[in-house]
Order: sequence, then C-alpha cells, then structure tokens
Amino acid sequence: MEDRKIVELYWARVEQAIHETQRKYGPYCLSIAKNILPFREDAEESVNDTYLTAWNIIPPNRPGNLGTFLGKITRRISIDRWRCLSAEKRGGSTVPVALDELAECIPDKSDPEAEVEAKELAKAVGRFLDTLPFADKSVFLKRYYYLASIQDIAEELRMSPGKVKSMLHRTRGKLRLYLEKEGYC
Amino acid sequence: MNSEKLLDAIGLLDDRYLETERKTPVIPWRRRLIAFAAAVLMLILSVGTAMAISEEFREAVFRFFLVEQDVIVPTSPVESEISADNMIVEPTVSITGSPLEGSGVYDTQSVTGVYVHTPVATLARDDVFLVCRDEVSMKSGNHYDAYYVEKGAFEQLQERSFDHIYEIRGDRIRVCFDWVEYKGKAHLTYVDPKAQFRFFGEQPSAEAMLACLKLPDGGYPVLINLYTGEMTDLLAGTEAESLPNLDMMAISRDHTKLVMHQEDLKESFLYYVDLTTGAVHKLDELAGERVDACALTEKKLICWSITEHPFGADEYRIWNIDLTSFQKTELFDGVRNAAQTKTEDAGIVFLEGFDGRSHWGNNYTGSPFAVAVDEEQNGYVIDLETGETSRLEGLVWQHGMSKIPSSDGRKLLMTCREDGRPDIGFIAVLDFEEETVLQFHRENNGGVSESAYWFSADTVAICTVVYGTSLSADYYLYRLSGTR
Repeated sequence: MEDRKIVELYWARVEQAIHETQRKYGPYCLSIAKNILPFREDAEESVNDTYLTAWNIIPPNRPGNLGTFLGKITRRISIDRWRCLSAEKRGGSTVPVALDELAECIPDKSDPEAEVEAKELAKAVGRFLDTLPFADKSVFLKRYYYLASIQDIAEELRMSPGKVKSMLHRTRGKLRLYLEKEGYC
Repeated sequence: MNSEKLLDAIGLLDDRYLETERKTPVIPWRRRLIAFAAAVLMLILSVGTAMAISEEFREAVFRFFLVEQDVIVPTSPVESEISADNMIVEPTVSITGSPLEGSGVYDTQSVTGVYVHTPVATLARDDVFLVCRDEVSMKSGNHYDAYYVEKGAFEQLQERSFDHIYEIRGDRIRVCFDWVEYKGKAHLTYVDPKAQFRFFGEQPSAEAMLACLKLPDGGYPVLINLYTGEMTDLLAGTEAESLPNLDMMAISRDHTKLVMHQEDLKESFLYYVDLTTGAVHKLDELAGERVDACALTEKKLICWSITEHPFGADEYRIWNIDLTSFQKTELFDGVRNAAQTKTEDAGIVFLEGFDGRSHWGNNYTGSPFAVAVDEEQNGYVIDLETGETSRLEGLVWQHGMSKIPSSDGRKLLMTCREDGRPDIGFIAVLDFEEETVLQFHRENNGGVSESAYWFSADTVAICTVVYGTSLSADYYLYRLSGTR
C-alpha cells in the first residue's frame, strides 16, 4: 500500500493503518532499532512504541515521507531506551562506539547545550553533508544516523571495513573543521 | 557528553538526506549505468517522436511567470480556548508582479496570502474549517462545527441533517449524516462510524454528489441530491449492476462517464462505464493488456501499466483509447518513474490517475497530463491525450518535490522545502490547460515544519505541522488569481 493511503488511514483513525505500517515499514524500523538495541525484545518494543507514537501524532502531522518519518521516531525512541538500559549496564550496542567517534567532532570543552539548540546543530550538520560526495555522505548517514556497524556498512557497500573506517575518519575530521568554522567548537 | 548532542542532532536531520539514503539501493555500477542510459534514451526518443508528430508544439513552450518577492509569514499566537473570536484570519501578504516580457497573457497577475490560526486542531478544505466539538477528537464519528472566513473573520455555517433510506438491489441502505453547504459544495460534519455509505470530496455541487453505498457484496455508485434526497442509480440496467467487490469509483464532471475499481483477495480490475449508453468495459479487455491506472478526458481514456522493479525505478507503458472508435494509440513504453530515482535520472516525475486508491477521498478521475524531466532536470509537460510534449521553460525540477494534482487533474501543485529548512520555501502551480507556471518563494521563520494541506482551483493551503502534542494549526492560504 502506498504511503499516502496509509497516512489517510491514520487520519481516518482506522486501525488498519498500524497493520499496513507494520507490513511495509516493520522490517525497516526494526533494522534501525536493532542497530541501537542489542536485545531483540528491546528493539521490538521500540518498534511497537513507534507505531503508537505514529498513531498519536498523525493527525495532526501529514508526513510527506512516511518511511523517514517512522525511522526518525524509531531512532529517537531506541536511543532513549538505550540510555535507560545503559544505566543498567546492558552493553552490546553500537551507540557507545559511535558516540566515542563523534566526540572527535565536538570536543568536551565546548558546551553546545548552552550555545546552540540541537535543531541548529542539525541544520549545520545538514549543510556539512551538502558539501560531501555522495559516497561519503552515505557512509556517514549509515554509521551515525542508522548506527550500523562498520562491518554491516562494508558488506552493504561492498567495501573493506578498513575503507569504511578510513572514509569515516576523514569525514569526521572535515565535520570537526566545519563545526569549528561555524562556531560550534 | 557533547557527542550525545551531536548524535541527537543527526537524528533531527532534514528528511531529504534520509530519503536519498533510504531509497538508494546498492546496484552494481554497470547495471546502474545501463539503466540510466536507457532511461535518457527512452525519454529523448519519446520527446523526439512527439516532435515529429506535431511541429506546433515546438512553439508551445509553457509561458512562465515568476513572482520575485519573498514572503515572510507570521507565526502562531499564544493558544487559547476555541471560539470564532479567537480564531485569527489576517490578510498578511499581497504580492503582485508582471508576466515576463513577451508572454502577453495576463493583464494582472497576483498572489494574495491569508493567514489563519485556529487554537485547536482543525480539519480544513476549500476554505471551510471544521472544529471538533466532542471531548475526544480526531476519531471517526466525531461531530464538527464548521466555519468559513468572511471579511477577515470566522462565521459559523448552519448545520443540516440528511436522513433517507434507499433500496438498491433488494438491500435497504440508510444514508444519514450532518452537513453544511458552502458556495454550493457540501462538507460533512458528522457521519456514523458504522455508516453504510461514503461520499467523495471535491465535488462541484451538493445537488449531485457521488456516493458509494456499501452493499453486502461491495460498493455501489449512486448520485444523491443532498437538498432533495433524490437518488440516481448509476448502474441500473447496465451489465455492471451486479458487479461484486467494487471499492472505488469516480465520475466525470459532466456525469457522463464513470470509472470503477474492483478488488478481491486475488486480483483487481478497472472498469469504464459510459453513462449515456450504459455500456460497461473492463479496461484490461478493452486495451488487450493489463491496465493499472487511467485518466478520463472528454474524448479519450488514457491508460498505463506499471512494471515494478524491486531494486530500481518502476517503468510505465502508456497509451490512450478513443472513446468513440475505441482505437488504441501507443504513447510511451519503458519510461522510468524518475521520482523514485536519484537526482540525475531522467523519466516521468508526475503521473497520477484513477487506480483504486482514494486520492484523499476525492472524486478523482485522473490527470491526463504527465510531467517528465531530462538528465539535467529540465521539466516537460506531456499531454497524454495528444502525445504532445512541451518544455517547461524556467522551471528546474527539484528532487523530492511534493506534488498534489487538483481534483480535475488540470493543475498541479508542487512544493518543496529549501536549504534544509522545515518550512515550505517554494511553491509552483502548473496550469496544464492554460500552459502557465506560477511560482514563488516564501519563508516561515517560526522554525516549524509545514506541508501542503489542500489544493483547489485557486487556492494553495500550507499548514504548519508541529511535531509532538501541540494541536493548534496555522494555515497560509495563497489565492492564485493568476492561474484563473
């Protein structure tokens, strides 16, 4: 079923909307959640919460692209869940490693919370991505948006893990310079 | 930790980055190259063929009008209790300009913007704003108060009740609902969730509304006069009278032609009914091949089939059928759906017909026009009734552009966000028949997401979309007098 029709079902408050969402985007949302949450039951719970959130916020939202809309919700819910679980010392996620990597881009000495809102930072990262070649942008998003492992990215893009690491290293360096130039560091 | 802030910020990236990433399958380079080259060649051949058929359209370059002023829109005031008094209507923008030298089409051309704020969530269409009066809103079976805008203020519309029982094929169907009339059009304000009928939106008159009655073996199309209750049985005496599993239908503006969609668990079919003669045609049989979607014009039925490619763009095969002689004319074969591809690909980016989907609940008989782009993203309009192609001078297609056709398929609204912003920054309206494009830029500096909400013959409505729980609404209505 096409996205527009599914969104229409949400607006009409027909519960079939959830079933159609599950059928079309369930695997996609689960793949995002599983990158962040190592235990399947946690990931599945995040995906179920995604459906509930979508039900609660469509309407008034009318997402233009239902897939990315749901993906964003899943990512946010899964990271929140990971933060709760990490307090209970449940490891195995790619998130801590990704966080360590991203720490290079904004050093601890800066205080972005006080200086900029996350939305502004997102816009800056977006502008930075616009400057990147397609392949670099793709690898960056797979790693830091979808939080995929280096190995998974390498297999998907048919590259060696070393090449993926090297691309990410180069991109992080550029991002750091870019954010410095924009006054974030 | 600051890296967590960065991780969160990446989660807020604009959709366009993620759309590209999510939709780009990993395809071996050679295959991608071949597919791309084939698409470009096909489009060039298609355009070339049309050029050979008619020299006239070489000159038929779409006239182009650009309103150069940027528009800064106001943002929402503090929320408060709902009443007609605190819903705000404010003429905010009046921008005018002149057509480009040489077009000579318009004496005056203008876009006027109106800002409307409602402190609760509202449903809106064609300048009627529906406010839920139930405690739990946004559920089927809600009751709504309806308002319209008059001289900068909201006025409530008088609610009417409709309650009639009809007998169709031995079944008694009760059609009962509340509605309001505004400028001759009907807007439903209450329908029982278990109702055995549904009406289609975007119909020009409440005197003859296409409705689908829900019979035990499927839907059944009728016209109902909401003022008198008179019902016209559209399929009486035709071969289609006992067709089961009909789930969607649309009627031409002059009520002489009907298209219907039939679907059971295994397969689906489209039908065309000539309401003047009662003749019924299954489109697959009429065309001699599979028909996935169609568009009605006065004299022709435009049909197309879609070949799906799981790891690439779908392909269209398009033809038309003369409704008098039933002669079939081939138009295009193997043209890619460029809306599903990356930015540099050529193909069709807009083609939307009657296909069994509900098209926002409207009575939509499909658009007889398609929009295509070449590899440099130059736009072309294809008249699928004649096969003629016209270059869209001055409009460079933007990937990810959102498209909404008018319910008669004669106009197309295109909107997109710009520079990673959440607001709608670019609006263009293509008038296929007048061969004009009206486009302008605007800004909403409130930092809220927006989307195109409805599009009628002369109005584009942009609505703020607030993530989370805020349920107020801001509408920016742009009256396009220049599009006629």
